[in-house]
Amino acid sequence: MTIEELENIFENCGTNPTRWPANRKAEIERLIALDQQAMKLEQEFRNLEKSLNQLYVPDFSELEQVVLNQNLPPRTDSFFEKFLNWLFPAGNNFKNLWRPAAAACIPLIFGATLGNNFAFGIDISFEENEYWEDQLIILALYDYSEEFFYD
Amino acid sequence: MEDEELMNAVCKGEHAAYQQLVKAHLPSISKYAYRIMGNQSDTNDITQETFIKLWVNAERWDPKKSKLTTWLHRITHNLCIDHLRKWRKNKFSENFEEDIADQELTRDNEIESNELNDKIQDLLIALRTLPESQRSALALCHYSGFSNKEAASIMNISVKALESAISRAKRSLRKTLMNAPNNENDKA
Repeated sequence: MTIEELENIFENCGTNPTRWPANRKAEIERLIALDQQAMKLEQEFRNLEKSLNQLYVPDFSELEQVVLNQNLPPRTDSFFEKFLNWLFPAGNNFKNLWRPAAAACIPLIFGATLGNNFAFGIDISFEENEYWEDQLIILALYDYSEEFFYD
Repeated sequence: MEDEELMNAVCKGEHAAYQQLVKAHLPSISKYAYRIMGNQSDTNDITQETFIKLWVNAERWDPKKSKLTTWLHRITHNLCIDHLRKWRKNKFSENFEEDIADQELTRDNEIESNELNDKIQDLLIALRTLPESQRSALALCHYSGFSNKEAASIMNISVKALESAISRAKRSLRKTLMNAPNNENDKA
């Protein structure tokens, strides 16, 4: 192990041996025991940690009372809220993607059902005679003389 | 009662369970928030909001995915980041001078306190000027005792990104300590 690797481990894990990678613990201890530079490095990091631990943090005992006495919103989950929680469950879980996908299809299914069963005043029925009259008009408008020019 | 049992009780609306959870977790949450925000006023607001979110979103905690303390710290972390971005706070605490006064009050020995005060002041300044991600990483790993994996999960970053943040933070703080007045005097 090099000094740079040791420094990297101290930066990431600190000087507490319980936080060192288990497979490198023996190596680290050997290096610290034998190498002066490693010992000095460990001492520097211990000093840093000691200084950090000396920084004052206030006591929050009064805050506890404030939090305990604060007004909490009512925990009555309405049906709509329960439905939303079911639709969008916590966590990134692809197994539950079918829920919002199914919900997104509901308007489509609704529209298709509605369109199949209700005409909304649009009359698409026709008389057979009217159909043949239209066919004859279209045939009459067709220019048969074109065939003589494109042989 | 275990956290899981208490949270199930909170889901049913039991205030007693909520109070037990507050007493158990408030010290760690408030200290974490203080280390990021740097002043008591913001810490109080964020701590209160964290526990309101615990009350409102209790059913969203999945005990199979994370411990309750991890979940709560994640909420606190997100609130701190939102708070800092929303109000565009300077990296220095607004009550920076109050922090220094608090540090001085804890010293008993007057002679020692002057040297320590300079060192602590320098360290405090350096800590406050760190980006919030580095402050958070340091607070979670060094002070709160989370593993690198848990801390990364709280901050919603990769373990590599967390290790990078904590390395930079310690490097910067080590440099500050190396340049601190009593160290310079020793070298002279």
